[in-house]
Amino acid sequence: MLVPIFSRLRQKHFDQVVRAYSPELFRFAYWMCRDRFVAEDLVQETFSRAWTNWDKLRDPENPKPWLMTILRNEHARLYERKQFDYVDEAPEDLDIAADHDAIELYDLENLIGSLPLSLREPFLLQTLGGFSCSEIAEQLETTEGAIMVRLTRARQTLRSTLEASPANANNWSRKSS
Amino acid sequence: MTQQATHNTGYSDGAAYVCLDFRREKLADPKRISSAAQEHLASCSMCQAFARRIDKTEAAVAETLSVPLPEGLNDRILLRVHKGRKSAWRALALAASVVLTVAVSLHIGNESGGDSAQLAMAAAAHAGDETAEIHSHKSLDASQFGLVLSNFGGAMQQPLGQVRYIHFCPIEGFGMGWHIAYDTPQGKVTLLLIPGKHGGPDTQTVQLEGMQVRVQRAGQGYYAIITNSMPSLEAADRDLKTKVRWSS
Repeated sequence: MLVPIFSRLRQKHFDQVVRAYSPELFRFAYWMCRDRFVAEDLVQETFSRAWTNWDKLRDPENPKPWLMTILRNEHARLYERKQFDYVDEAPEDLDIAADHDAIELYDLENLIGSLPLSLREPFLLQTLGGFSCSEIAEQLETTEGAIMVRLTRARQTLRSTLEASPANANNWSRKSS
Repeated sequence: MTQQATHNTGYSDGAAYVCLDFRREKLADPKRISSAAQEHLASCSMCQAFARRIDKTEAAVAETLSVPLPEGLNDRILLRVHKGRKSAWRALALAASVVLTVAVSLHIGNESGGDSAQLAMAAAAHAGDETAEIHSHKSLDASQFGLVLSNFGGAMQQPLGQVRYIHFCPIEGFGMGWHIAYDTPQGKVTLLLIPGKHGGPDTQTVQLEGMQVRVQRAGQGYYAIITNSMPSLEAADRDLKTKVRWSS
């Protein structure tokens, strides 16, 4: 008798988590892969794995970091063959200036999407996920200082490009007004 | 040292807290600044102006990141999890990959294509989703085609066609690349510019499910042309060789 009740409660909790976190997860996935179809599939796969491993959820009150980790792993699995060959560099090695000519072509959407993964991932975790630098450092298994450097560089890249391009600056002003 | 760098308030441990410290904090995490930073902000007009600019950028970023959610997303997740039904997209992608693999093996035969053959398959799969992609992404202005080519290592000498779509997007298995769609007198052309050092021959031409695909080493990596017929493929490739001057 207790087993069906427990099972129903477990499913109810999971369904609530899906409804609460699917928007953030979808947007995070979208900005990681820039494809709505792939993003939805990543989110579905994430929740599917989460349900299979629901007993391993350590903090039922705050499942977001765990879900984000599953999603990031799914994304890495999807693009593991090539994408990380050139995007998973240490921040010190990134040559942002070399990309400036190309980046100046983009509007803000493309600017964010064109950030190297090593900058974009912590940036999205903070701006979409609301995580602090220390929480992001824990998720990405690095130091808080390294995350602060990456976030600073991400914002510097966005700002410098937006300010350098009159067209982009106008577009940006219009969007933010 | 500038006035900006020397304006400071005190840290609780006695060390000076300068504008540079504030900027470092604000850029790393605009919404969580320390009490020392808040104290500095209250008394520094330059940092107040800096903070306003950052907050404005953050607002624009937040608005941009907030892409619309697919309708029925939660229902599909729960259906898949509780009923074990996978999304139609995944099933179609899986089916397409099987068909493409068979088609490539038939048309390439024993020729060793290396990465360029895989790139041709990825390019065809990407072009197959073009209609949906164009509906879900904002295109760059058509006038930027020349600059995009230029960044890839190709100087456009003459127009290639009527550009309908330009987007920087992930090419599965090959990282990010430019996706351009344009019309020519010979028909519609999809052009992918895929940077990076990939193995395989310089040129690879394959037929995949009614699509003609040619992968050619050029510029910063490879370009891939996808058309519906061999004459339009040849014409598009000829145009890319004669109307564009490639750096390598």
